[in-house]
Amino acid sequence: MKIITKIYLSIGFILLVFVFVTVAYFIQSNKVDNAIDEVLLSTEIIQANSNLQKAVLDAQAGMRGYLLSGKENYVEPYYAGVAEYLIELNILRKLNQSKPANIGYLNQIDQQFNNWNDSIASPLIEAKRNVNAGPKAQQEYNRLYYKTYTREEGKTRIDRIRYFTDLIEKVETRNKKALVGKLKTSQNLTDLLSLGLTVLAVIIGIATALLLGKTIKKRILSMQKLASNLARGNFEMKLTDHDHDELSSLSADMNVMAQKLQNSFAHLKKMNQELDQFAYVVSHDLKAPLRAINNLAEWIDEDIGETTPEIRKNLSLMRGRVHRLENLINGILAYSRIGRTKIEQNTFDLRELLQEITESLAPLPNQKIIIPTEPLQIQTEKILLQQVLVNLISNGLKYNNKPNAEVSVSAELNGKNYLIRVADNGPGIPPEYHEKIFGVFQTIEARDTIESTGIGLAIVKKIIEEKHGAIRVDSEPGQGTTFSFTWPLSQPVVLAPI
Amino acid sequence: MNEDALAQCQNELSQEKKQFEEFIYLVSHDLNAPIRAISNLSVWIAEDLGNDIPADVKQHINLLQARTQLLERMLGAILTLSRVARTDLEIGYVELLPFLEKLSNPFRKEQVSVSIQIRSVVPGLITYYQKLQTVLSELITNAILHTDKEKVNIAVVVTQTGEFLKFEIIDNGPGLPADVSERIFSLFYTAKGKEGNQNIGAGLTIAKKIANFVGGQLAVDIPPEGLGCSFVLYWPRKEPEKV
Repeated sequence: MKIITKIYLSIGFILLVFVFVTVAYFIQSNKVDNAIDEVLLSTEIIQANSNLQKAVLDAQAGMRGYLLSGKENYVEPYYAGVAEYLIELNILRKLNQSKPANIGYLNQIDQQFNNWNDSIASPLIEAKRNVNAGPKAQQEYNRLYYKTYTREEGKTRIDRIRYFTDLIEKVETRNKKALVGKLKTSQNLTDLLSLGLTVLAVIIGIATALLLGKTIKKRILSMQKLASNLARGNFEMKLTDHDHDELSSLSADMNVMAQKLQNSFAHLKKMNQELDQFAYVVSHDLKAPLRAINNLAEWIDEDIGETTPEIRKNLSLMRGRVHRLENLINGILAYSRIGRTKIEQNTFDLRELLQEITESLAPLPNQKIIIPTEPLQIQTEKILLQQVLVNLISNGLKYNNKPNAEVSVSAELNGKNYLIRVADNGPGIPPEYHEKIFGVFQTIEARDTIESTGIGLAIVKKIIEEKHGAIRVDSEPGQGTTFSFTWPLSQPVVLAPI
Repeated sequence: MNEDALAQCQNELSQEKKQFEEFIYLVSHDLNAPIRAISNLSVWIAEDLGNDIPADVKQHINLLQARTQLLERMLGAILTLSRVARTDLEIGYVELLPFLEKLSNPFRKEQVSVSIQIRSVVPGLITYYQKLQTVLSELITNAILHTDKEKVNIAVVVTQTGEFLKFEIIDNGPGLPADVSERIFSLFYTAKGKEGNQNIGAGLTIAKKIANFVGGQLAVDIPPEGLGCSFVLYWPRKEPEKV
């Protein structure tokens, strides 16, 4: 699976969880709203119901009071109770619009109450008012009274009313309690669910971050390792990757690149070796017939005895050519040998080395080699530096056209490199030759003018490059020439394995 | 950094290659001048000395001239090697049977005892025909050069294996000891000394270099001692791309 897919999936899941939690809370809050309305309705119904009950009792009590006392002001509570009853009944009907069962009870209540009022309370009160009008009225009252109290018709109706109001109260109280209970349960469930999901989302988020981070980090680290290995010239390492994502293709690319680098490098190394081997074999094989020619020329010279100066001259010219060929071949051999053998490092004073070189070059009286006055300790392959300096200094003298030839050498430590300059006051080198002089067999003047193989500077350049230094030439015709090269601080020569 | 390194590496490689060719070319050219001089001087000295000179001097001069010629030929071989990638790059159709016959004829005429049998199951191919000719000529020359028989029998058999044509050059010569099967391809290696014969030990080197250049292979099969040699040349059938 691709990494980006993994990230999308995990973030998507987390978002989904939070959406779910939010929706759950929204639904819950709606539920609570509705439930609270219901509970409030029930409470109101209970209240109104109890008011209704009280009104009925008031009406009953008013009627009784009047019947006992016969005083007109005692009948007031009865009227108030009846009015109150009507109001409360109305309220209750409205409140119970959505509760057909309660409406049924209310109808029952109303029927009983009307029955009680119309056939018991109202006639009784009327009869009581007229009780003193005559025995007929008295008789009527007694009949009614008997009917109400002895036969308990009034009580029966009031009890019926009570029964129904109690029923409503009971139903509503139960309803209220159930609602509150349900609300609590659902609230608890929502809380639990939300908490659980949130914890889950957080865990998934952290796990994804950790897991992805860890694997990505691990793989990037191994790639980094490969890259730094490549940079250090170690092409052996391979990345193994069993995932199939963006990093895998990167790993595969890096592996391919490492392989290519390794191949190219192996090829380069082989090529280099081949070149050196070739130069070595060629020059080695050429030396045998050359030696024979030299010997034969020598024998001819000895054997012919007295002869013309012409022949002597030609013989000596010939041996000169043989000598030159030998020099060339030796030069090629020396060139091909650079880097083929391990050379020991030693610590020495550059000034002393330059003194040795001066002595070995044996400058003519009109030639001067100026060397630094300060000692400079160098730790390096002495033979290689010597070879470079001998070539540069002898070039400076050999090609010098001034009556007083001067070659001056200076050296300084510059960061991680020695910077060494060899300057002469010779004829200078035209800019178009500045590159060419470092090639094999390149000389500026015709070969016959000065005996030179033209391989010296090629050797110098190869040695310096082998040491990972660099050489440059600054010169203009008539201005003398300065060769400057860097020589890294005691860094062993990298050897091409033979 | 890696792509840079790769590019740099490949750049270095091609530069190294170029340097290699240039180096060899320069070497052989620069060495050639003094050899020419020696050769000329030896001729002049011989002329100046005239005819009435001691026999040993005469012999020494002859030897000296022979050595000079040897050196010249060696340098010539180095030069040829360095030019493999630059010369004889013409591409053309080769009808194998007539091509091989034409190639063999000079050898047959030169030495009566040379018999060359040609068999080919492949009609022809488009390739560097001059290079193919050089390689096959070198291999036939080599077979004739090293024979120990009165009558030289050479068979050239062409078959096809996958992407390559397989040329087998089989002779009835003395064969080769197994331990030199690689060395015979190195430059200036000769089975006998260089003194007596004209061979300087470059022909097989050049043949192998050409085979490698065209993308083929050249190797030698070592049969049991005394059964002759069989050189196997794999030559790509694919038409080379024009440079």
